Amino acid sequence: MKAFFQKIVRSSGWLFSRAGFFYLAVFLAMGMFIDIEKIWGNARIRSMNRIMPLFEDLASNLVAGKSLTFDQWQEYALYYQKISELIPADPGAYFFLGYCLSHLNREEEALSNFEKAVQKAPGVFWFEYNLAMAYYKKADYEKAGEFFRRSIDSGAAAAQFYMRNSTLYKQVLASALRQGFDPETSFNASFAHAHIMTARCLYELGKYDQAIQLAYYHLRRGLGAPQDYYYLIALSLKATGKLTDMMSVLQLLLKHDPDHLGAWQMMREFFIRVQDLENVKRAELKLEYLRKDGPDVDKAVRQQKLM
Amino acid sequence: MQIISRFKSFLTSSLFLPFILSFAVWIFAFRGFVFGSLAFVEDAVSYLNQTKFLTDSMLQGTLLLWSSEAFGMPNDFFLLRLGAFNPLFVIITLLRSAGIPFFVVYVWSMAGYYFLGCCGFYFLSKRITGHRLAALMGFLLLYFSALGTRIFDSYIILVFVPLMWFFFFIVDFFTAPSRKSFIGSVFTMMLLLSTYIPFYFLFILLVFLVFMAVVFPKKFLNKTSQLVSFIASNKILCFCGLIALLVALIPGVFFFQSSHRGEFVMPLRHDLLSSNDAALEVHPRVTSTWASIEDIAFSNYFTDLRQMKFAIIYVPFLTWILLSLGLLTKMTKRFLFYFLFAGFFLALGIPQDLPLYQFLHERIFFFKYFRNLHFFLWWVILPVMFLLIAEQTGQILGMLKHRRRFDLIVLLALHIMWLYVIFKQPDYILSTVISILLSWIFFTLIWLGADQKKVLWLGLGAMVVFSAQPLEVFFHLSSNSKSKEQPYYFERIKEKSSYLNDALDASGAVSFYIAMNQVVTLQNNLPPEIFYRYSLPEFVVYDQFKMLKEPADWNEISDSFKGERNIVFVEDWDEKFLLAGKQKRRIPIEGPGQGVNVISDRPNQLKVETFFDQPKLLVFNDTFSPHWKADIDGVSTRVYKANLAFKGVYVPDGKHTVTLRFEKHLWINRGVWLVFMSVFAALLFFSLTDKRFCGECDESLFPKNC
Repeated sequence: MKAFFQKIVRSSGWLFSRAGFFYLAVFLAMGMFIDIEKIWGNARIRSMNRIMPLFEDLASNLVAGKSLTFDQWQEYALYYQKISELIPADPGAYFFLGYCLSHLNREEEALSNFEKAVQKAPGVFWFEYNLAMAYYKKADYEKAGEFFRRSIDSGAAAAQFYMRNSTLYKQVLASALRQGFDPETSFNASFAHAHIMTARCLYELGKYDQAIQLAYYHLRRGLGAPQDYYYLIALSLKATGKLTDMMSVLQLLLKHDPDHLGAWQMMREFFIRVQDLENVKRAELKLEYLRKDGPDVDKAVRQQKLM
Repeated sequence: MQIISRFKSFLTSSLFLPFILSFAVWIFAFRGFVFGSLAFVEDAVSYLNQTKFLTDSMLQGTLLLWSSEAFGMPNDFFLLRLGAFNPLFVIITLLRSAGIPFFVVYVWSMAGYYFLGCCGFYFLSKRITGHRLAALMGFLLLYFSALGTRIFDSYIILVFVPLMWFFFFIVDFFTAPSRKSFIGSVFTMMLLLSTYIPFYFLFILLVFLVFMAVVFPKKFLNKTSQLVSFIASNKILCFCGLIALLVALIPGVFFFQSSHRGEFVMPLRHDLLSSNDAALEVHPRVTSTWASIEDIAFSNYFTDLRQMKFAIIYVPFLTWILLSLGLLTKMTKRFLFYFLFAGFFLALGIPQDLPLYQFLHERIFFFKYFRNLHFFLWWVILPVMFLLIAEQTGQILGMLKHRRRFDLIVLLALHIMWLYVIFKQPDYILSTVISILLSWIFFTLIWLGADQKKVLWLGLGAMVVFSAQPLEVFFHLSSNSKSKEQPYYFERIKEKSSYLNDALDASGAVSFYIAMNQVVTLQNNLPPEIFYRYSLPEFVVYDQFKMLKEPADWNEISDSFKGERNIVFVEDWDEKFLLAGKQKRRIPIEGPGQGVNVISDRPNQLKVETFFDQPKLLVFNDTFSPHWKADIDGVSTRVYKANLAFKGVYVPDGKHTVTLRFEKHLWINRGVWLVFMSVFAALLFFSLTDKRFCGECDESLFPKNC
């Protein structure tokens, strides 16, 4: 027994005389006298300043659609990634990160971050809208439609409340407001776009009749630009083979937007089909002009929005 | 003969190859920066530029005493920041004079200088631990840490290198006093004292001595008496050393005096302080915003080493393996010393949450000059940690010779534990795993009886093991770094006169890091665009003058500048000089043939040729200083303070040659430079003739058996 205790004492003596034991003891002693967690947390927050980018460019992208370089998007993405690690409970960090990643064409990662943002703060229009857009880009129209509908249900109030109280939003918003940004106009445009996109998702899912019905419904309510609804209705009519009806709708569309590229393309196809060569030539001339200066319809559909 | 035989023995020494190879591997890792495709950033850029200007002037046989930065100012600040009396700059100048392009010389010199500093660490470590292989391992850890990246974004290497050698010489001196180590200590101390904030070094030395006295009181007393007896027997040498140290302080003393006189301002340092404080003082709140803990916390955001950036404290992963081997090593008083020494600086580097910084700030006068407490992390904490690791490794290597199974099991368990820890990380890199495996193989081979006398092979093995992970990490750093797309300032400056200010942008809203007080006063009191437009021409000619009122009427000055009126504001005027022109607008000189031609633009001197039809006041939009002297055709004339901040010279009609010279402290600086070179030459002489160079010692400053 005595020998056993002696061995224990010897072993303890050996253990206590090790440098490693000393390191451990020092660390534990420090923990008793100093609030290491608090010190560390404060230092981490302060050290974020070093990777905080200037928000002017991001705001310009928002306000005037200024295109940012790959490096700039990466810089923003890094910042929001670190914020999301530092404050994992902040849904805004995931949202902004997702937004930057989508501009870096890292769509899968963007989607997963939008999902996290929505999980943490359901009912914020911008989170659900951008998640829906990410699903749409991924061609998951079922989920895209669901989240467009959810974003419409969420409406403006929760989004405005969140933007007013989120530090991350305020960082960008301050710069954006200086550059003449109007949050209400921006919201209204995206809110209307969400309505169109619900119908667009139905169209992509092959539910053409439902898409037409929904488009007419929203059109009557005056939500969004009529030409966008007419275009969607025309696409659906084309898909169901109702080409004469399609042409009537396209005529209506062109009244609102005489330079609608998609409409002229569809008209050209129709004229080729009915062998109306004179009109084919006219449509081609118009298309040639529009391709030089006209808008990219599909790109507008794909556009993500920050606020 | 002795020198040749020493060189031969150095080349054939067993660790020569690992050292040279590690240098080659380091160069390979940073090839993007070394060969100029990747850009230097942050402070490293201004150091690059300043080195160019300094060595340009040295090539012309003088020291650059007037800087063109911020509308012109005495170059004292930049000379001190660089440590311009360092022989490094003589070497750079000599290599440039041999026709090698500046950038090539600079980058290789800095790489070599950093290597030299790490070699200093190796000798220090070897002197303390008495174990070559352990010291080599400490060297490799330090050499392949992020400290080396600071060449490309900071300037801390310029202090780190003399600091390492200073501690080597001090330890060497107290181990066995010699003239070489005494002169080495003096010389490195001179280098450190001639930096613009020498208090960093002085404070490190002070803390070192205090903890030495606390942890090793008897030894400390012994060594003190040893120093006294050395002084007694080498009075002349010690007196010369003392004089040399005092001489090294002269430029700094002038600089601090100038700061107290308010001649220049440093807005970033000065933030939050009242205008009466000297420019070099820093408010504690500014210092506290970023200290060591913030550096560490910032680095912690980059646990994914694929995101490696500058200013991240990266140490090779083997550091943690070797540190964890402390489980096997015996605690000694030396470990306690390392802990206290580094721990003190770590506590100092948490100014917002621990009271140490505030306590010292209130009691020690020079604490008000510290802006970057995180420097201590790189200069003290990191090297001391590697010293501790080298010490531990020395013990481990000694233990492994006994081939106890227990040691092998602990080694294996530790390596497995680290592998487990790494695999648990979502973002580990492959080379981390490889380096753990290589480390296990390395230590197992030693346990199996690899002959530790064959240091060459073990050294080479260590180099492979220690550089595996850094190679990948520095590859990521290079990938994440910006390409050099724009020429550096020194490359652009060739396009125009060196006296033109480069910092000001079209909005005029520029924040100077350092500038003469009068320029900043002018800038602060004028609308930015007016200040900018005023400063565009390098030379302006005026026909009328107006005496400045006290206080200055800024509206009047602003209107005059805005309307580009032909009126120069002066503080006083010599009545014999008459101006007679009637033109309403000032006459900016926009090129040759307009009355002013630059004949020569040399460091500290500008020579122009003038030809006016009437007497004029020639204003040179470069800051006024009373130390500027002028002559016209060899006859001395007065330099006026024109338009509140700039130089003006009255020039008679006809053709004349106007020469402006700045020679403040020229001879003092030359004298200081000569003293530095003399001490350096003495150090070289004694090092090459000292038989005990880097040999083993009998009695270390740090007692071995405690």
